[in-house]
Amino acid sequence: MGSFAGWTLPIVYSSVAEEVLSVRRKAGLFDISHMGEILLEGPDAPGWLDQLLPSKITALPTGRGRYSFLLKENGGIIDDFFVYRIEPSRFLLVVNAATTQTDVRWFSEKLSRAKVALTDESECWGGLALQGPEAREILRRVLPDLPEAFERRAIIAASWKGSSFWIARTGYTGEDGAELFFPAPLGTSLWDALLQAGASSGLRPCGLAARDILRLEACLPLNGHELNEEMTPLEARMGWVVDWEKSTSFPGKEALLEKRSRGLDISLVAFAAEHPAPPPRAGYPLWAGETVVGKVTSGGYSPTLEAAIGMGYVKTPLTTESTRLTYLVRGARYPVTLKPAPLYRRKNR
Amino acid sequence: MKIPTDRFYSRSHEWLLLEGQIGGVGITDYAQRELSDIVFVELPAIGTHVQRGQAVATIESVKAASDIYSPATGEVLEVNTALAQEPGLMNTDPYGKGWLFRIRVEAPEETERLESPETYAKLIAGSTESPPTP
Repeated sequence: MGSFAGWTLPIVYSSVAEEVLSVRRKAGLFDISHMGEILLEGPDAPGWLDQLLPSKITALPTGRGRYSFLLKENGGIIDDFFVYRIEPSRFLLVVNAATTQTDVRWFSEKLSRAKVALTDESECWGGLALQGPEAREILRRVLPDLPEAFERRAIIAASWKGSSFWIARTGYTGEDGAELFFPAPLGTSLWDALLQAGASSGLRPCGLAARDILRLEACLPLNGHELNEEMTPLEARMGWVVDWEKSTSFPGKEALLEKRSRGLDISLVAFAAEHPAPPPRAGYPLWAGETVVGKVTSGGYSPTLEAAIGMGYVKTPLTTESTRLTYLVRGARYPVTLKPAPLYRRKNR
Repeated sequence: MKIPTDRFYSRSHEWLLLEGQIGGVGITDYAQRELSDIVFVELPAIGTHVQRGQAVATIESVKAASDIYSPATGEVLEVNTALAQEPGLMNTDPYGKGWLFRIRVEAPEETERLESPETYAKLIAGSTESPPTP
């Protein structure tokens, strides 16, 4: 167990490597109750969010989710999250635990004049993530009424023991799967029912250490590591999140447009070391010859790729795949090869 | 928790198995469980002269890097090269295939400073937290 942002979290149940491989090959169940859940509703909500987020929220269909950011005026990233349109004028934001209070304050400050109500459900709701190639089949055993058409990034209302909750076909592992957000008292029985239903399919409980490796293999950024207030979506290679065409302005738009035309000094890269190598860890400098040219933001050993892997920010002339960089551990240099992201991509099934 | 009775134990969770003057060294079952998945190991160079209690190897697990302290004084004769490709052997077989190195033990009386299997069992029974440093 470990502590994070006021929550006690399950880090590992048995073995991180076994848990990672179980999600890649079969399925894994994660307790993600530390994630924050914020509800925004009211007739003005879609247009209001359009003015606050870099995504075109008015164009998001009901029953679908989209990855987005809260940005500072200078384009720096306050938080990254999924925003789900659960009803035409009702949105669920699933945000990072460490930034939930910052996000709530940020939205609350902008509520005046708008007909939008904010409810922070983070303390009252739990979350589970069921991930892996077997995830949908297992989910169907527990919730047989799940509609056949449950597309990626879709969100639907479901019912469990007389209470309703939300299921989204999203995740943070690079595998197919679902995330469940529910009133906390449902948590234990949902957890037990899913584990039981998945036992024959190889489902196992997974901790947050495995989730961190899975998201790293899939090159999904983590707030506080790849994403922070010093970086914009452009350095993070997440420019695709920004809707450049939408007419409404939003915090950070001017700064991002300027940065896009001027070019970047640094950029996020993914890399793998030759085996064997010690895992690169967040904060390690990245070297080109005798010069520090970047810094590791996340790193670890990938059981899927059987190599030490990482992500980090590197000066832009050096972000091509032919660049040879090294990191230093206890006086020894370990060479890395820059790789196209994601380092792991699931096969279409 | 396995604690073979044929060897000595250090309070920093290494074992020493004596065969004449040659001592095999590894980490205990308790240590490998506390470290969880071991993903990299850095071993001493053959021929190095090490002191009892000296940090001589480093193990990196998914959690962190940990020093390994030599349970005896002497010259490193052999290291387990299989660990470079398969560091997980320390998790799956810490007392066998997951051994770290062999040394020529110069002062066999040093074993008096180590723990018996019985004492070591009591030592770890009382601790549920991370291994203490020596």
